[in-house]
Amino acid sequence: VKVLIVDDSRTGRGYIMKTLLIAGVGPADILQAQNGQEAVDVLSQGGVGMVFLDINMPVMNGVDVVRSIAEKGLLSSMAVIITSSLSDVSKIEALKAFGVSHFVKKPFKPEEINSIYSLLRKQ
Amino acid sequence: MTQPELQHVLEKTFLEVLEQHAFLLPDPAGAAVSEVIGGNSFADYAKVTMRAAGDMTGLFTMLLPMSVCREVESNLSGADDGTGEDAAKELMNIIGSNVLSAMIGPNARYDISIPDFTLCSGETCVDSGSANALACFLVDGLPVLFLWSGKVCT
Repeated sequence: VKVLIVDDSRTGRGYIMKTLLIAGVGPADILQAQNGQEAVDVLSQGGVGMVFLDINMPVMNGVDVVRSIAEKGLLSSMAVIITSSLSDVSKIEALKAFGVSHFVKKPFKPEEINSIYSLLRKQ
Repeated sequence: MTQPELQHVLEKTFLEVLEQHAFLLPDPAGAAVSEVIGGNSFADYAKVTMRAAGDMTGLFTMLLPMSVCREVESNLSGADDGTGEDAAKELMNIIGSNVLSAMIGPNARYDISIPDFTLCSGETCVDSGSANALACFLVDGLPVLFLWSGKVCT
């Protein structure tokens, strides 16, 4: 399963990447995007089964990424995990309406990423 | 929310994120916060700001020594080649958002801007007098500050 980490912060991406590497994900299976548009471009190419997605990003935010991949019919083929400090209820409701059900609020511990990755990998 | 409650939320959130997420060991600045601020030139400090709009409208400002920013970047991502700017902006994003959540509650409706980074060159970097709440700690003996200037609209 290829994993895509989407966050405009290099620090934020690095934190999740470190956790996934410790969880046993191979470096070649981890892709990165630093804004929503880059993420949509990567996801449109296929092959990604899991996305760790920030919300507050320049160019295209996380809600618009989910909307875009849903419109392309790609959302059902991947698990989306929202990794954001933002808890604006309107954005959370919009994401849930698209079927997104995994939310990890920053700051999170590596164990939270690890457990959700393990759970979704089994599914 | 009263000013003492706001002050408590700001201090608690700032301290928790610095300790539990950034793996720093902040010390209390004590009662002499104004002396700590007034006596510091803030040279080689990062100043990060982030605007909030919605149920809370205003401006968050954070001041961190660049040495601390680089330490946080290394602690979080393992990268030792960063300038610290990215980590400072990420910290602002996390602390500011969590302060908003704590102040407004689970039904919060707000937008936040992308954090803005500048490198301080002098004590004019901070206007603590206009802040509604200010949290100050010491990291490696150097002051770190988090300020809120604004209002709660609910």
